[in-house]
Amino acid sequence: MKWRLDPVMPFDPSPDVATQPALVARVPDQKKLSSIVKTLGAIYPLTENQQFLKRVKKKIGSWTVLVRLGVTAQSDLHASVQSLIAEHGLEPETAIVPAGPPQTRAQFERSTQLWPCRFHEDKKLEDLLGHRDPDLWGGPALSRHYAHMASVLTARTRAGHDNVVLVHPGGTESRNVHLERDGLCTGHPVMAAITQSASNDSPAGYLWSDCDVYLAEEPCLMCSMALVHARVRQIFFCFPSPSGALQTLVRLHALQPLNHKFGVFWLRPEHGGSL
Amino acid sequence: MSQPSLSPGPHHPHGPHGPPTPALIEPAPPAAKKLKTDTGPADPDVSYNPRFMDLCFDKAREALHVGEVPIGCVFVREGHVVHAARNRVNETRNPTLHAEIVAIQALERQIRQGQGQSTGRLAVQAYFNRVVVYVNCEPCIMCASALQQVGVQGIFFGCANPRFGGCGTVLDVFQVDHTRRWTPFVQQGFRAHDAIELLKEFYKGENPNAPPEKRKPARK
Repeated sequence: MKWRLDPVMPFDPSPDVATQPALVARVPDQKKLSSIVKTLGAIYPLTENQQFLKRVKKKIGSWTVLVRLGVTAQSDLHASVQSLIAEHGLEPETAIVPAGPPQTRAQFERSTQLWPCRFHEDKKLEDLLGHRDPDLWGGPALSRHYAHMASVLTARTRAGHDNVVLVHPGGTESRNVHLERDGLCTGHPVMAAITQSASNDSPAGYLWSDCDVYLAEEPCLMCSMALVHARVRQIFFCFPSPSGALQTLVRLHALQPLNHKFGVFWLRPEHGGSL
Repeated sequence: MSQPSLSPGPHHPHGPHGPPTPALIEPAPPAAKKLKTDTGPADPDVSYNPRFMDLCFDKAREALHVGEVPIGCVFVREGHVVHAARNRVNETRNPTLHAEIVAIQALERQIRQGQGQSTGRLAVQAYFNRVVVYVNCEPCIMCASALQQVGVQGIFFGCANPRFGGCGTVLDVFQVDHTRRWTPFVQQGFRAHDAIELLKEFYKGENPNAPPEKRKPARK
């Protein structure tokens, strides 16, 4: 059976770039560029979350400045910008620029086709997107992930049972959880597994620090948040669920205020494979 | 600033409090929203009763005394307390045992014992549909989802929870999870200042679950 392992990023990793209109102006004389940029910076400063956009676009023998974001009629511009335009013979026009800072190299490349942007590549993130992290996609690591997931899926064939595989720094535990019949809270494998894992003599520290869990189904909001409380390191699931909270309804790991973030992975048989 | 006026207007026995700490709570109008049950807010069983919130604080103080995050809750059904619980996370080393989960699990067990093992999901939900939850701090995302899944009628809570709150502060669970087809009513801001003070009292101390490298330096 062929398997596929994809990260569920805490943002939309699609290279498509959201755009916004902006007023830009071609500058005929390069020598005037720095004083023009200075004036624009004072009158139409870029806010903190707009500063990923550079002020000047250079093309061979041609310079364009970003005047202001949004649609602005030339007559509505600040008086000193209007005189700047008249004085230096600027040629204003409306352009389409990226709406938000690029998160990935692919998004950066698309964005700069529209307008030059600042971008700092996050190597770890690019390794995730490019499936290059050896702890995830390296041969031996991949076989381990597949084996854990296969063992989770096998246990599910018995009614009222589920399996949660927990990999902790000390080894692997396969936790065959018996689900309480129709249990509303305790009937979810994650809640049941955490409860079975916890005991008064659990070592100090958070219950599942540095642990990875393998689940058949994408966990619901209750279970995903329970995994935050347990401080799990990485979550692997096989089947997306309509009430799933890591990919389907919401990406819980994208919520900024949460004091713990985990990695999320969708591990599934390759298209055409069967279980 | 005085205590926010609460509709349907129960008198607050604890007098006016100072303004809430801005970092911990945004004063939101405690208006009931989206009541999807056969009983309207005029039902005396459902309107806010300060006595039950006082009971939450008793449970929360009990939690504080044994080194737990001071959160207590009271489940009220048809005007009667059916369960009161407090946080048991540190005692059991089970991070899911927030007060609300403790109460839900105890009641679920009780319902099954009373009605036999064949008691199905629907019977349990029918029971919780007439339960109103009082809790001194906003339920976290886990607890809010659990309360939605068992189908409680409504929630009265004290202060907002800016780190975990699942009733609108970090995430509005009831809005996000449309698959449950159940939206409890939510009213907030009851004794919020007292709840914040109690939490501050806890965080002055040390979290016994924090790993050694994250522990605060010892205070004298």
